[in-house]
Amino acid sequence: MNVTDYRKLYEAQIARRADLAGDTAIPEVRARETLSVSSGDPEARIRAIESLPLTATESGSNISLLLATLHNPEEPAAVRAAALHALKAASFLGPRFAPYRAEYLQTLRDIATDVEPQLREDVLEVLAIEKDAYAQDLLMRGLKEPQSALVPPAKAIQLLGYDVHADFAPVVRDVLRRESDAATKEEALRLLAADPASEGLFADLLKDKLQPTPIRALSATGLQSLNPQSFEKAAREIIADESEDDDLRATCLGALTHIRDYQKTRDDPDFVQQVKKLESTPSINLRSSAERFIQMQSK
Amino acid sequence: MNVPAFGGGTPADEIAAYIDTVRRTPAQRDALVGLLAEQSPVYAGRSTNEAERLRGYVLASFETTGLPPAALAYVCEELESGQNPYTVAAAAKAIRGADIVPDRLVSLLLRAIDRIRPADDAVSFDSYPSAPSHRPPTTALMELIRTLAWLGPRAGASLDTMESMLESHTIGFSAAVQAEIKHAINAVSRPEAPAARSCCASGRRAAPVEHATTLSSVTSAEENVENLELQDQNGALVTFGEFFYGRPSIITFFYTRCMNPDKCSLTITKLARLQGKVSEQDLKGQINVAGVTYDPAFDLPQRLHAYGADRGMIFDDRTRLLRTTGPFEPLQRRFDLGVGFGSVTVNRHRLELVVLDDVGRATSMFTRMLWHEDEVLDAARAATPL
Repeated sequence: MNVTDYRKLYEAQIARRADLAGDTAIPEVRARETLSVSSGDPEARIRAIESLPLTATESGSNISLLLATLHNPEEPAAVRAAALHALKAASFLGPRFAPYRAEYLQTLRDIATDVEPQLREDVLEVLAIEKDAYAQDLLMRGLKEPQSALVPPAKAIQLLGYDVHADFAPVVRDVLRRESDAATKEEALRLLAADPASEGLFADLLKDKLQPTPIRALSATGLQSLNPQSFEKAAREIIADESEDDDLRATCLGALTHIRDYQKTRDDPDFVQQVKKLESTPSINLRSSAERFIQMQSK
Repeated sequence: MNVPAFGGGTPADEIAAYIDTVRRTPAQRDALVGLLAEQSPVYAGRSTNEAERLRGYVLASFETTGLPPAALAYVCEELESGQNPYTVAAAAKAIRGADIVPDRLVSLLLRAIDRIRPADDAVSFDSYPSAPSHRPPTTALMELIRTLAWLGPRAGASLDTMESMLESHTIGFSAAVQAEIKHAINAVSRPEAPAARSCCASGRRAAPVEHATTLSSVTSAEENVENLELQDQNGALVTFGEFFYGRPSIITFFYTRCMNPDKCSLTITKLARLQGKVSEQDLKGQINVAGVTYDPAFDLPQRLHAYGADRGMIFDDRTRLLRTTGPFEPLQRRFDLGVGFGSVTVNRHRLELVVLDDVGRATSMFTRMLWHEDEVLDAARAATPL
């Protein structure tokens, strides 16, 4: 789901909740009755789900009702999505939700391969946050065999990123090599920033002027995280190179300005002179980065 | 039966098939113990989840094959500090195959129940779990409580706690778990059979949980690490010999990306407390206190500094967090460390702390179970030349 769609969905939910807070809220008994029969107007069923109290100690049967609704493939996707949303909120209840946690996770695993793509993605996201082994297997399989993928590769990589202990690095490096989609490549680089063995990959991409700027900027971040000294050397070369992309130069200069490791560079008179010259460069980003560096340096 | 030479590339299903074979031939159960060592090649390159699933599958097998004494420490470790419901449940099952039960078993089980309670999950051990089974009838909490029931009257110390779990104001247990608790209360409350009063006659004898070893033989003296280069939390370089020789040392192992709060985070917090005790007892400067990371490529100096400082360490010449600047393997071989590695970072490790004398010989090792600051300090004092 992209940001715009998510915002629309969230606004609709807020509007609906505002309605429920008024005199249109459904009493619990009626909400339960509406959900207990397996058919009916989806809109009414969604309103029933949103009216079900889940915070009271005696709300256990409501959670069971939601689990059954979520599990039922006959329910419309929107109703199941509403049930999942309510269960996700309930899962923050701590000890009150604990008795249902095992059944909740098992229900999610049961529907992780559901035919409804958005539900599948949402479910895999919850399981991935839980570092669930089954969900990780499914995501990994989808990356190795794209024809069996349950979510787009960029999403799969993002979800695998919830667990640095998942064995993702070799597979994600393969994806990076074979994929042309920019979003997928960017997610792959974000994830590999946790993998010390990818240091060389980041160094190569950062130096490669044929790569798009976002890829090189992410490589700069990855290299900075894995080998700050190697990044420092590469960043100084990029900043000094007038044929380089100005936005990338600005990114590198920003890192050298703010990160503690680089005090020696900040104190180097030759480098300071070099940066001073950039205060009159036409690029707004690079110019303001240079100004910030000089301000920080003079402090 | 010869144990096949499994490696990190062996498909998990193939290893599981071997474990299934041993389940059918209990006389071969000792062969499974080798698969529990974290440094076993079988775990090389695997994710933490896959490593945990394999270990859990091995542990659960001991319920049917019988629990070999050599596997008891692994089971107790899991009950004391395991976070994965699958592996903890497997340890609870393994105990039910034991002839000798550890003397702290009841408290270990109660501790595990408390820890797993907010993280309970469905588990199934009938076959290797490559896919979710259909509505498995058991969870990690249920397995832990079944083990209390299995102990019967010997779990008498758990009775009050179990009864309080069922009190009306208590929430947090499913109906199925509550049914298990009721069953366990009945089993534990049962009058003890005369034959069972004798620990030997009952067939379930009590044994202490061993976690401290006085040693020189366990570690590999052949692996010379004197010139191994280390870097501390401030970036300073020093060789192993320069830092550790000349006075006794306490070394523990950890890594900053460890997700188990009862392992690395607690270890470094305890190391900071130990440092305080060293100072209180006028031993400051006479004993080295150090933590060495398993994950040197990621745990760069600034990460080590932040991790230690956040947990109360006050760094000085004799108190440091360290990383190897090259490969970690020489240290792993030198101290036979129980750690395995996935493709990105550590996939599993045991708790381990080594006390060295002033010439770098290991004199004591504390492994798997949580160590206490005072016993470590006593061991360090014993290693101090008079």
